[in-house]
Amino acid sequence: MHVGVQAVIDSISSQAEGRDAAISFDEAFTLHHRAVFATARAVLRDAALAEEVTQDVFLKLYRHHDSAPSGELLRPWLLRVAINESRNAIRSRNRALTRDTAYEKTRQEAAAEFEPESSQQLEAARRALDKIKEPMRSCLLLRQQGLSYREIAQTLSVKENYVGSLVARARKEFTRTYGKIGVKS
Amino acid sequence: MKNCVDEGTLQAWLDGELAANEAGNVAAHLKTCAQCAAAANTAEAESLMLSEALAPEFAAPVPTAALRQRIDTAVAGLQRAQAPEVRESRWRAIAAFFAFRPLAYGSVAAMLLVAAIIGFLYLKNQQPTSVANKNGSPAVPRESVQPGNKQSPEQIVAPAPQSPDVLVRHSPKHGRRIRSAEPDAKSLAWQERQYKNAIARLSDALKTQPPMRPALQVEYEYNMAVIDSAIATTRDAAKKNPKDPLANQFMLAAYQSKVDFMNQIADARGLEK
Repeated sequence: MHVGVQAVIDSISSQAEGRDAAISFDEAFTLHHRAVFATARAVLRDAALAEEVTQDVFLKLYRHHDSAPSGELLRPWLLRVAINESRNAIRSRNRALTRDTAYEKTRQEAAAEFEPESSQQLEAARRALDKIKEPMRSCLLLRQQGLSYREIAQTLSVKENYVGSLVARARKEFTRTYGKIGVKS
Repeated sequence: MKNCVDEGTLQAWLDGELAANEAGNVAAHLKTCAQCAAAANTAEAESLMLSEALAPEFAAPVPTAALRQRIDTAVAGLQRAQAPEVRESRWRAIAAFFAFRPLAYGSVAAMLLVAAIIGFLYLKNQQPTSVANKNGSPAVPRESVQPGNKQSPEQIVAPAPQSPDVLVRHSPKHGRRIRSAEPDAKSLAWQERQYKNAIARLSDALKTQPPMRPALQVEYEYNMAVIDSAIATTRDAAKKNPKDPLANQFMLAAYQSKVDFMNQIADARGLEK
């Protein structure tokens, strides 16, 4: 009885500790919904779609709360799901709306959310971003959101000591295109 | 030139991602290498421009309240769909609660025994003549307690052990029950002595095992106290009515449950050692 029951009790209490270490679903939402939404919106450039993607991401977390990573691994996991879901959304939207007038309308509405000057600036920045290849583009977006290299590496499944050069190359690529657009406008 | 930093390391340095000693090396190198210092300045200027250009992308307001509401609604829908699973896991929790507490069975057995004794004493008080008229036809309440009354009392009483050695088991390989019926009736005193010997041996055996956890110890002692008080009660009843087979049977059953309980503890602790 000694060892057996003790082992069971230990496993229960260690599970309880694990649950303590893993934050609750509500806490996860409070802490990370901004990063998830901002990432989805940066990829999608559509606030309404970004809301949908954010909902999908957190529903996924809710369904897999036990198996989802905890602690510092949670945010990279959420953002990876957000990026994947956003790309899926883009693919299905493109299938439905390619060369559709509604697509242009959505884009204009999205742009109209901002001030006119910053809207122009943002359009230029977005065009420059679009020229950057993956995974450098996502790398740059995540870096701009303040993620650490380690978190970026985990989100994008790249080596941590490779993140620096990805950011550097993305930055150079962006500067080249944005500088040209900036001069033109 | 030989120690020049590559663009990735330089970026990591600008982003504050290098370890302290690496960052120190880069800073020292930039002081001595004009080319790398220029590259660092360019990288810093570009990073600044990039941040400014992309600021509106991330500065746009996040609709927290709308998101919260959407997700709460979606989660509520999910919970409704998952309701049966939740119920199942609750059952599992209840099952697990009992599975972890083998002593609970001992407690239940002890409580049932006490209830049976109280019932027996109550019936005796209701019908005192049934004990006095022992040699007469069996009284009604006795039949209600023991429906199989047509057998000889000795066969019902039965729990006399063949030898104390059989009772004291350290290995769970032996059968769980030690109620081996003794066809030729032994005296009640002899049976009681056999039980007492068995209990003494079990008690010694339990003492040689490592000490129990405090929680187990408390539960063990509580169960033992319940059983001991049951033995005392039934023994008094048996002494007052020495000719009543039911009283004797209850006393022996009380002894039996003590032996069973101690065996259970010895088995469980032996298994999990």
